[in-house]
Amino acid sequence: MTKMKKVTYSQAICEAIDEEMARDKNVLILGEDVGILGGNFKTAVGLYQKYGDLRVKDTPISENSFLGMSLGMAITGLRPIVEIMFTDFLLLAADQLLNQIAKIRYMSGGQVKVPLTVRTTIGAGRSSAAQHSQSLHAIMCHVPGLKVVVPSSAADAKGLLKTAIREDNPVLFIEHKMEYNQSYEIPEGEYTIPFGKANVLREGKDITVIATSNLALKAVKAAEELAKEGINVEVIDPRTLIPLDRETLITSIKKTGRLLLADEGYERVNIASEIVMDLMPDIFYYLDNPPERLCLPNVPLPFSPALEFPLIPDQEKLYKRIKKIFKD
Amino acid sequence: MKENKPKFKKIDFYNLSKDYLLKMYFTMLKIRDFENAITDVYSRGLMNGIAHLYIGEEAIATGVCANITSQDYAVSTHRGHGHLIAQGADLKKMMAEVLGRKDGYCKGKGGSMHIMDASKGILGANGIVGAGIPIATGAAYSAKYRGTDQVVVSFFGDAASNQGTFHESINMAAAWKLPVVYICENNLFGISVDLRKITGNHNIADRAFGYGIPGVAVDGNDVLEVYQATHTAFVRARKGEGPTLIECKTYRQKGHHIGDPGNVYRLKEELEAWTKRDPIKTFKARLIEEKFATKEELKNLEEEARQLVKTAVQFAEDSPFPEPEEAFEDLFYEI
Amino acid sequence: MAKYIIMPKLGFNMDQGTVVQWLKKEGDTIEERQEVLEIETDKTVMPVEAPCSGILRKILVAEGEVVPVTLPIAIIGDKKEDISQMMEAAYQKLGKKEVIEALKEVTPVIEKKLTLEPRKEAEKRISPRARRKAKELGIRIERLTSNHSVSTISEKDVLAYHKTHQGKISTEDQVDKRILYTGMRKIIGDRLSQSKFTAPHIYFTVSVDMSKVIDILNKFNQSDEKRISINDFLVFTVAKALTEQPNINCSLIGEEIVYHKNINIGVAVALEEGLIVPVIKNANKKSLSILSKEIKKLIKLARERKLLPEDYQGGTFTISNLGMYGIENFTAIINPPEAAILAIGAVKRVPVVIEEERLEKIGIRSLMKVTLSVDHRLIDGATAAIFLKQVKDYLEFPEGLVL
Repeated sequence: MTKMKKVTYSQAICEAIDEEMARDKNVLILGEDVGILGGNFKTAVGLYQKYGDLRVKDTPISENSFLGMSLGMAITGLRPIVEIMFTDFLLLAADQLLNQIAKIRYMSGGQVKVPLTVRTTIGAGRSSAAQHSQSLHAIMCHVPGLKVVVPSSAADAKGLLKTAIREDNPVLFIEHKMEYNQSYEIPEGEYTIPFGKANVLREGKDITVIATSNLALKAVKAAEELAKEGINVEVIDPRTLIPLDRETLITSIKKTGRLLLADEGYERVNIASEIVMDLMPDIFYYLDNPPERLCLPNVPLPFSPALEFPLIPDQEKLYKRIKKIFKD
Repeated sequence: MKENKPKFKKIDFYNLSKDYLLKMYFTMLKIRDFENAITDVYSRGLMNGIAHLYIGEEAIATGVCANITSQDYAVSTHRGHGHLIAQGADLKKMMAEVLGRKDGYCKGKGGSMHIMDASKGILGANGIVGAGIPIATGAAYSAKYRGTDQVVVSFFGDAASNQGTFHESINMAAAWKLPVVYICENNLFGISVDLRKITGNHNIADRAFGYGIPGVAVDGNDVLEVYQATHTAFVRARKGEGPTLIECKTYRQKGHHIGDPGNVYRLKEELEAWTKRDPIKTFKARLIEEKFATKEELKNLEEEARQLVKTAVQFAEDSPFPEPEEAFEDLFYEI
Repeated sequence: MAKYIIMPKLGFNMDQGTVVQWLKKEGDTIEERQEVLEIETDKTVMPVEAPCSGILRKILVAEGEVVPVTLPIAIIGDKKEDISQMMEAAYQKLGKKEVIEALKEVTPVIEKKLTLEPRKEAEKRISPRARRKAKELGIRIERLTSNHSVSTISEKDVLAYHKTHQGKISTEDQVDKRILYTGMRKIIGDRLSQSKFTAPHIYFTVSVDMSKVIDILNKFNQSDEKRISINDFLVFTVAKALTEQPNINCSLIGEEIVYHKNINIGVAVALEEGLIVPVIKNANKKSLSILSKEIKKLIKLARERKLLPEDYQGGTFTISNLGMYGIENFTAIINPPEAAILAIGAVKRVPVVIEEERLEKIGIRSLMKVTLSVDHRLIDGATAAIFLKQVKDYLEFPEGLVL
């Protein structure tokens, strides 16, 4: 039985970075406010004091260029971790992320490898409004060349981040900003979680719920409520969108015959659509109901809580949606 | 009317050996012949895509890269053949890559605009204007991080100096005293748009002052001037004193790419004036006039360069095309 | 050496160019890379440079003419060299192209009138999963109804129907049961087809008097806990016969007939999905009791679906026994890449003609028919007959096995 300890989500991430920086002297972290402040979300607390200025670098507000610089570092022997505050800001660095980082190994015919981790955050719920609350990971999945990781819990975040840093390819690591201050139990000591293996958080036989990021945890809570009413929900956290663990998802859907995907991106061109289409050749003849998705509606996120909260997918909306599917 | 002869310093002034000078001449010949060969293979329908010729700018690549050692890095642009050749890239593999063949540097996956020779520290030509500048700056950070005295050269054009990445990268390099030498090849035009019409201060070297680093403008068609300025910048960088901005004033003798005559948006007189100052022709005249080499010696080098390029073209034409399945390789690094 | 000036391809999509103006005339001296003419591409007017120095010997294409890219338009060479062959070749290339354009016939395009009939909305909708289940259970979809307010038939409905109608399904309700021909059945089926259609099978049948064998086995099985069966005895016997007739123990592999050094006998086991043949390796080196134990073990594993590849690969001869079903004799299909297979029938008490003191009379004996199938490419009639006779002799006179 692994010993567990209680930490916050941001502490778990900080631990992962700390452990990897201690393990490999070529690992460094750069981004806005990661140095003296320890990160805007406390994900680098204490690292500046421990590793110094060259390894924990505060950057100016130049996303495109410091992401480009991290590429230059990655192909000349270093293993940089770049923190980009929100996926919204990642758009400023779209050229370096999608035209350069994702493609340089391929265009060079395999001459270089890019051991780079780009960490960023998604999620609404803090009245940060339209430009600081988006979950744009679906866009980053479209262009080939990146691996995309979306941990659900703090325990997963730590294990997956360590794997990401050790990975010799560019990894986009998606954290949820509403989770940073939440406390979770994580295993003591060092551990890694491999890519391409989905996690079945709860077994069930009536419907498969594939949920990304913290929606997976919310889905489990909704499932517990639904169990009392005789609806048995299987909740799967895909963990990595690229590479995707198709086998686990297909096995589940073949068993249950019903599918609900939940993701906090906008509904249009959501990662849910991609997953359904990817799996469709293998699941079509096993579906009893058409697959459904629970996402953010196609509007920018408004400021006022009275407007914002009703839009965000959460435990209650999952509960209601699943009940609706079983209405008969 | 007295003809305005281009004014160059005496070669003695630069204190370089004959060997070194002839090597520079040879490099410029290789670049010129290679680019002419590109025109030929393109015209024959063997080359796909777009080609951006370096004809007329050879002195910059040659003068800058004469300072680069095998330990240093360089990041280039879409007009990168000259930079690659000046750093010693294999002409055969370059030509094969440009023709999309298996034996090309990038196995046919990159093409003219993305040729890379990682083993020589050539971190690639780049198809996005200005995208190479932060990559070069990052490589310089890496050198400083690892405590080596490597220097990185970042090549870019006048048009790129208006791209956000120029400002952001030079700012960070200056703030952190990174060992990078920024070479701006100012040929006055971004495709058809005249720099002077779209830039507030079109003396790009002036910008260096704004970032707190030294900046200098040199005659980009005088290979020795370029060499000299770069040398100083390299010494600075190796000593840990930070980046330098060198603006090399030059001119494209051809259009932006093959198929663009380059005369719709440029004045005939301007092109003629610059063509008179052709970097190879003028250097040859100086070498002979100041008795650093005989006409014979230079002719031999010209023959040699021509032969090298001819061999490269033959090699490339003989190289097979890659198989369609190869399109799915080299995306990720797998153990 | 004379060279062509070609119409250059100066753009990815450029197929042809127009000669606008010749800047030099025939007889002029040209420097390498000097501009010789101007052409018009689809976008703009471009100069064309000479590929080498020399005299402009011949202009092949006049101003205003349109030429496809990479074709010759002029010749540069030395003053006195003979360029007649080059000219001819060039004109040929240029001449052909013009004709093709004129011959293109314009075919009239018949517009198809598209009348879209709205697809008849099915009154009943059924989910893919339910449809699949119905097919599997042999239930006609028309018979199904949905039990929900939503009118889509789900798997639950199909299962419910099946439960209530089990046993009461009339022939009108039934449809042909369909399952895909895939998996193990297909693999076995394909192999059998291949064997039958490739190897020319010939068959030999003998009746064997099993009295003595039955006697021996009864004696064994009284004292021994584990029963030794007729099948076990057959494996033992065939193994011995194969050591004496190694020509049977072979395979055709590529262009070679391989005579195997090991005698590995496969015993066919019937499973629901098809036939599987576990193999007893080196059967000739094992005693009867050991063979019996091993055969029992393998059959058990086969029935439990736990056989490993090494258990069913490497066979050199197969025995297939349908005696337990009362089958008198049958012809089996050779298991490739083996060269022969022995089909065993049931032991039957039958009347036979026996000779006793020069007189013929009728007796009753336990006879078992065995049929040998051989691949006639590798084994001919006499060889097969000798082998089969050997097997029969050993079975009828088991004392010979001890020798």
